[in-house]
Amino acid sequence: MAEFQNLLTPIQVHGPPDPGVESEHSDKNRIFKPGGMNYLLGKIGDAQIGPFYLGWLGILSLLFGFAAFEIIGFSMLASVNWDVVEFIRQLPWLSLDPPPLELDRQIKGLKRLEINIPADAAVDGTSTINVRLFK
Amino acid sequence: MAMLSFEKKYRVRGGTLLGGDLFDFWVGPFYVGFFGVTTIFFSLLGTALLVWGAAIGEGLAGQTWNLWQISIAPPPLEYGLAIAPLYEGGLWQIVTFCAIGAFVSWVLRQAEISRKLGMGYHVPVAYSVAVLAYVTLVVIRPLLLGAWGHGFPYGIISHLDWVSNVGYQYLHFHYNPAHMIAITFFFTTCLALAMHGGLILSVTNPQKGESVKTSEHENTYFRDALGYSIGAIGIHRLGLFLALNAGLWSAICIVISGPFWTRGWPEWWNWWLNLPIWF
Repeated sequence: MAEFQNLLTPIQVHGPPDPGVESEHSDKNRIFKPGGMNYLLGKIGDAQIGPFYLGWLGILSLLFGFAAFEIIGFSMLASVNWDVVEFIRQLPWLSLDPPPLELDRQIKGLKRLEINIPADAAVDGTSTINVRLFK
Repeated sequence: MAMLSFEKKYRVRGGTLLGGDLFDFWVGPFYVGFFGVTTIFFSLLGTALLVWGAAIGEGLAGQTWNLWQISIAPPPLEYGLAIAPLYEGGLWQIVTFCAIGAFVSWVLRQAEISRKLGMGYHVPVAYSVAVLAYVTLVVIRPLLLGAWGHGFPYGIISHLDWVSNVGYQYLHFHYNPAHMIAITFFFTTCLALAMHGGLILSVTNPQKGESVKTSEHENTYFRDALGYSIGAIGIHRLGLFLALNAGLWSAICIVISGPFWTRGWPEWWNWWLNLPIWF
């Protein structure tokens, strides 16, 4: 039974690298030659790294991802006056926020309901609110 | 009950952990075993006590048969680690004992079945982590805090209230670093299982007239998408690792709340803001 009691692959056997399945639909635009065998990855699963298919959608995905990452990052950096040390120090607390309420209010014809209840309106922890809606 | 033709040869005596041949037989498809009997004993007794507690109205809610409101509460904090009177948390203590008895019996039953089949102990080990999380909540943390009253009440709504109240005692529980890690493992477990399930179904459910795809297709899909395919055995190792860590870090995140850190979790992060490297 002992041979079943392993969490990691004890012996790795590496054949020639698998170039991937070809079909009528598959592009032949795979980049990075297959065959990088990583010993540590082989301990838990397949050792082979690559190949990789990029394609136009992959390029777009990377571009958009990069743009979002940069916008978020530079906005955060700007919020600490471009102080790199403070940027790293406060990074977990920094944020890029959705548009504030004030901008919302500037949109003409936008119907919205705002209810502001002052905390002192509650007596003994309870208060009654009557809302009347007109058409 | 139905038995597959090859199943008979796996139904062998022996390999039990306790009790020798006692209860070493099958009823229909189920293996009984000594720990099957103790599982049934503890779960029936525990459930009966819960129903009895509901009948007498033990707990916060008073007597009710409303399934959502029924609650069997732990003893008040004043009793500390003592055995409480039956109607003041004693019932909760006995039910807790029965629950642990049933869960541990189930672990040992899984281990016995694994032994009979000559398998590894991965299943009982994995289930033990869930049991550990429960034991952490109702035994280890109450012991460290010095009162059984720190356990959670057995009731649908009441245990939700307990989670909310205990969470707000630490102002914002999501700032608990172990809680962060646990949530990350839960979400990653879902991601991994969704990708694995999707992948397997996508190769085994071909369109009409097409053939079933192979594990080479599975590997090629993830190499094309991510540059790496972890492989057939690797995804199950990864899944077990992620899922067990989700349960384990859940247990850690609650056991450090109180015994290790008594203030708000947001405040805990001040060590980072006050590191000497910033100045």
